[in-house]
Amino acid sequence: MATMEVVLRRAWVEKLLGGRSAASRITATNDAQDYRLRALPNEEILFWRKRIDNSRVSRKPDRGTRRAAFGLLTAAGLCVIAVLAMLAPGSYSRMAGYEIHALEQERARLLNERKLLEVEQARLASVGRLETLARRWRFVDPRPGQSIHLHAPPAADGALAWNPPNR
Amino acid sequence: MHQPAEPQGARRLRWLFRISLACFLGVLAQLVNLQVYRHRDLERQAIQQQELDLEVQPPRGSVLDRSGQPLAMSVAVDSVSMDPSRLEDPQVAVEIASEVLGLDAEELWSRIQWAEAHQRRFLWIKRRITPAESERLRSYRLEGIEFNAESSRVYPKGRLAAHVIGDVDFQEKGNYGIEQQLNQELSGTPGSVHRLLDVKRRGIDSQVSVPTEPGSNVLLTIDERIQYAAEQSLEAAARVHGCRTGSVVVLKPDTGEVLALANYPTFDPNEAAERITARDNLAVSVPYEPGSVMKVITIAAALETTALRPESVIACGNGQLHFAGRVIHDTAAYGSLSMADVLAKSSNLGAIQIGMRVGERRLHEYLRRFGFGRPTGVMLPAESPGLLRELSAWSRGSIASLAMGHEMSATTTQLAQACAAIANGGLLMTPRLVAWKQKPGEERELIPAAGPRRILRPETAILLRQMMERVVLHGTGRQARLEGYTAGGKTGTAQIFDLDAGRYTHLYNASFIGFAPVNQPRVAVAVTLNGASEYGAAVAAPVFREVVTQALRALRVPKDVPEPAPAPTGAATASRRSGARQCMGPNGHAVCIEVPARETLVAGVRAEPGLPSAPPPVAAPAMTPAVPGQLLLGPRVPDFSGQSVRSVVGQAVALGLVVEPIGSGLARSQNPPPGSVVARGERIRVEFAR
Repeated sequence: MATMEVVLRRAWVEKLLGGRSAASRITATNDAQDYRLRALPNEEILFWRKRIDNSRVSRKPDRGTRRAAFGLLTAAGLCVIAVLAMLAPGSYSRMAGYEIHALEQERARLLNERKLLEVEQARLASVGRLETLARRWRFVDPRPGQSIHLHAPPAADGALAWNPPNR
Repeated sequence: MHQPAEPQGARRLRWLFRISLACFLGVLAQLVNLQVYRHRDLERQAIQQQELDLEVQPPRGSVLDRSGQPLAMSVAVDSVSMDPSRLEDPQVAVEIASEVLGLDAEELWSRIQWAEAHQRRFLWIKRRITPAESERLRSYRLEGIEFNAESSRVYPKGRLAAHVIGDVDFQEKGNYGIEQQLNQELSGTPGSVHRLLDVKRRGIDSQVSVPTEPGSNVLLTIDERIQYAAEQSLEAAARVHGCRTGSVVVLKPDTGEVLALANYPTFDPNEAAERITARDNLAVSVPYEPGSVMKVITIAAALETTALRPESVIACGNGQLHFAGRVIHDTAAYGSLSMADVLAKSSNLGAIQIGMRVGERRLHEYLRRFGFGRPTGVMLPAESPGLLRELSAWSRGSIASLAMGHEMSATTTQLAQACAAIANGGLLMTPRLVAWKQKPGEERELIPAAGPRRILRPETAILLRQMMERVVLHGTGRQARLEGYTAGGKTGTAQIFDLDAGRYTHLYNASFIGFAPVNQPRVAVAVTLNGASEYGAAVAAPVFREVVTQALRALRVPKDVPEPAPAPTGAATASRRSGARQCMGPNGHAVCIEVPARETLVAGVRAEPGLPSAPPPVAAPAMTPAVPGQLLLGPRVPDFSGQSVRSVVGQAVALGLVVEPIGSGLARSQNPPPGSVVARGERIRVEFAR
């Protein structure tokens, strides 16, 4: 029975020699074997498969390990919470900063819009424009004598109204 | 001794430790490098990236008219800039930007080329664009085109009161007018903000380093309606009479408030490129020779310092006077006139005679008292004091010239101030243009007017008012007569001297000063038109009439003389012919109705002949009287002419009328005229002369 070493060596030698004839290869092998030590006892390793049934094996609960694991998890969680607690105010502050900045811009925009509307209103209500419109609609100034003077009775509290005499 | 073999785990741990130590040392070395050696440089870069110190320009205050209508406001607008190095496709960007902003594409392209050649990373494309342009350009989301917030000054009323308001330059610094005079108050004080930025340069946190003080809003005493009327009337008169320039100043006599200050030519402050010469505030900055309007001052001095009265007879030399080596002519050959008539007929020789009675020293003193030769103090820049030489510089003939308004110069504002002093009973008021200023969120700060200075006795002022009313009723200022109101005034005409030719031209400085109503003046007005080919009576007096009519209407001043009846038309004629009159009201309270034509009552819209019919009225109020007609308020005024004082008074008492006799002798004129209908208690002024 050839040992593992012999098998491997043969394969290596064959690979090394490549295209030489089988006889020369054997000769070379034999020559080489003459100078080698013999295989040591129990050198061979034999592998075989054995079926093991572990279905009835149960693991013994290791309370110490579990406690350690939980402790580790708790510590990690606390660390995370602590980190979050440290970061949260800054983050909220930053978010609030964005919001405040956006609101400031919105306020400025709305104020400017109001100013633009005031400008537009002033343009529309300018005397020159009203005069032009009055001309277009052929309005006329009341002539002298075309005005009505109403004298309110004391009970009228300053209110002036057209009160026909027959009522 | 043989050492036991080291466990493999320990070896690995040792390597891990070594590697970690190496990493740690590497990190430590880098930390030392960053924190110690490159600290300053990196800190500077970090500050540049993460922090921003912004100078915050406060919003410029608004300018308002006396009713709170905005005349000038600042609004935020976008300005477009470009970083040529960031443009993805410069040609496309140029095409879009030029199309949206209305720019010349070739010029913009050449500017970009220039910026690229000079490695400029900032280039203004167009400043202060409209919101519509901004919105449109933003929608293209062009890389390399940036929008910068800037402030833009807007004048919503356009040319209205342009010389009073002025305008601003590209840095919003005041030019001319109130914008310049109150630049500091309107601008406010800039502040600064320390801002933290994120990687996208968005603001995270802001801290106010220096608080911003916003600009004050300023409320002017200008009345938009009166200002408009003044500008329109002035421009129309200047165009009709071919005048080069002109100005109108309307004051409130009792407070000195400037209700209107108009110049011709004018400009639109929204248009920066308009003619620079049109920006001169002629009413304040340009004095001119006033002419005959100064006879009022001469007569005021005479009333105060001599025994002359309005009825005193002045020898007018039949239209010619040799004085101080020159011959002075009058407008007509008057033999002798009362002092009141000297003013009414604007006799030059009469004014000279009065001036000589007053004397040089006192005439000079009164001219000074009325504010000539020094600025009025109106809150506008570049005010001219005019020219009134010191007494020592007068020549022998100066008194004659100054008595009729020559050899001196005055601004329209000075004339209005003098006129207001007569109108308010003899107090010289500083023209007041700014009523108050107010910072946002703070109390109004009233701008106190300088205290009035008495320059005339009240009785002198009243006499002058009556004499000036006579000018309007019977003298040279007839064209200034108002419907429904009494008015007093004085015309002025001064020939313009051609400095190049060294002689007087046939062009005039036409002027008019006046006030209305006479008994309790609510407005004092000075009108000047330069380069007119006609006299002040024809050129300036009509402007006064139009401006004052509108001003008194705007100020809701009750009419103090009956209005002439309207020309009867259509149905109204028929109803008036039927003699319908109406006195209505329960409990004996009179409702006095002067019934107009129905169509006017309904909506104030009446179709004029030759024009298409007016649009239908929106709603016709049920105001039609039961019986149209005209109400007679009282008895008709009889004709008093030629009657003695006793006869006039007796007749008036019999009719229940109140008469105010002026002068002595026989009745020469009366107001209201014969046949007028007067209200109960209304006075009839009858002037008597021998």
